[in-house]
Amino acid sequence: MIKGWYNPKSSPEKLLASYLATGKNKYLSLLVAQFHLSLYHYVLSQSNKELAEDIVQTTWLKVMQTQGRNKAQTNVKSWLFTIARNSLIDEFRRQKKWQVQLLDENKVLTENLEKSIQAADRLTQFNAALEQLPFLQKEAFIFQQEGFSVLEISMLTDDSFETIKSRLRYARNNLHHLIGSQS
Amino acid sequence: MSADSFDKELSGLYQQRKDQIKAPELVGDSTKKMHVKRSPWHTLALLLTGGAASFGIMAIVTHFAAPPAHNSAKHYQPHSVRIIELGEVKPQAEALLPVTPRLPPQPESLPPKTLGNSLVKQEQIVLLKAELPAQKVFNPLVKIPKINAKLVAINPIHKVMPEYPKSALHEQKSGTVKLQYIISDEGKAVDITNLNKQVDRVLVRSAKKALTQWRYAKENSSSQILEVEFEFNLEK
Repeated sequence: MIKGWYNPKSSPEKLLASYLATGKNKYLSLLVAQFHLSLYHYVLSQSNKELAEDIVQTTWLKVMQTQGRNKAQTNVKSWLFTIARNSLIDEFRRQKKWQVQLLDENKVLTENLEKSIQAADRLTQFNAALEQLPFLQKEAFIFQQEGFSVLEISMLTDDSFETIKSRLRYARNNLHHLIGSQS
Repeated sequence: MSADSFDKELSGLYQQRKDQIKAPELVGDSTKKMHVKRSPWHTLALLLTGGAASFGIMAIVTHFAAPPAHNSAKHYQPHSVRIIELGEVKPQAEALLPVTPRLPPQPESLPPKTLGNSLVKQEQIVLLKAELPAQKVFNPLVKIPKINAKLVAINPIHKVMPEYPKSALHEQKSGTVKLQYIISDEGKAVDITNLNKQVDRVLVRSAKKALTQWRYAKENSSSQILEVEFEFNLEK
């Protein structure tokens, strides 16, 4: 309790609870500071710059609108990602892009990128490879890198545990295939 | 290349990718300002908490340091301590100073009318006019007490008034403490004895304590018994 006074970066659950209880922007700002970049990166990876900015903005707006409903969130991080993901999918549906995104799930990428980006450094290769991944694989991979467990990802995306597990394996294999080994 | 190192590389690359991305500033986002320092209210609250805590500690300390005043009015009762008598005790012998009794005037010795008494002669009668034998004994012994200037001048160099003990104030005890003492070689009051046994011991203790702090000039030291009286007075 007292430690929390001295440590402005207290747990996000407490911050959200304080924000919902008091409605002070201070708590929301701290939440934004913690998760803004992760959310933006996730949405940007799945779409383009303009759309990503819109989606992240919408996400925070939705957080602000939940004030008053006062329901306790056990995991604020996954809650935030769920909001962002739903907003993104809504936007895709509106633009009639959603079905296209879903079509190529579990696609195994065959073409090797290495030749085309031979000269580029490792990070550029990685970025290009990630761009190549289908929507759901990319999403699962990003969530995993953000620190979510398989179970959390399955709850976040409303898919079964096994589905996420295989999706992650596909994503990893694809990346491995695309950028190959370091040597 | 093992699967583990590839996973590590992936997460490393992911972090690099994430670090390269600059998130757009949100409208009205005051995040940066919030992180620089605490709000003044926060600082003020911390200071106030510290002040309240130290006040509480001091309150507890003073509470246990002073005896609780059940009736505070008694503490403010006017009271005084004064020295009634300060001086030497005259030795017993001097106190019983023999006073030369006045002799009644010698009766005029009249020649007895009875001249006829041939047995009594005029000369014999005259001889009986001599002074009383007691007077004869005393006269050489009687000394006029000397007014010794030195003795009168015995005054302490340093004099301390006794404190009125708080417990005595509280119990409304008053009285006069009479102390006897002599001056030691160092000029201190020693061999203090209490003469007035009826008075409260607390008062005696306070008076003795004060008296031990009295200092005389060293030349005044003698075996002369001195006496002092302290009056502890409660004004009603």
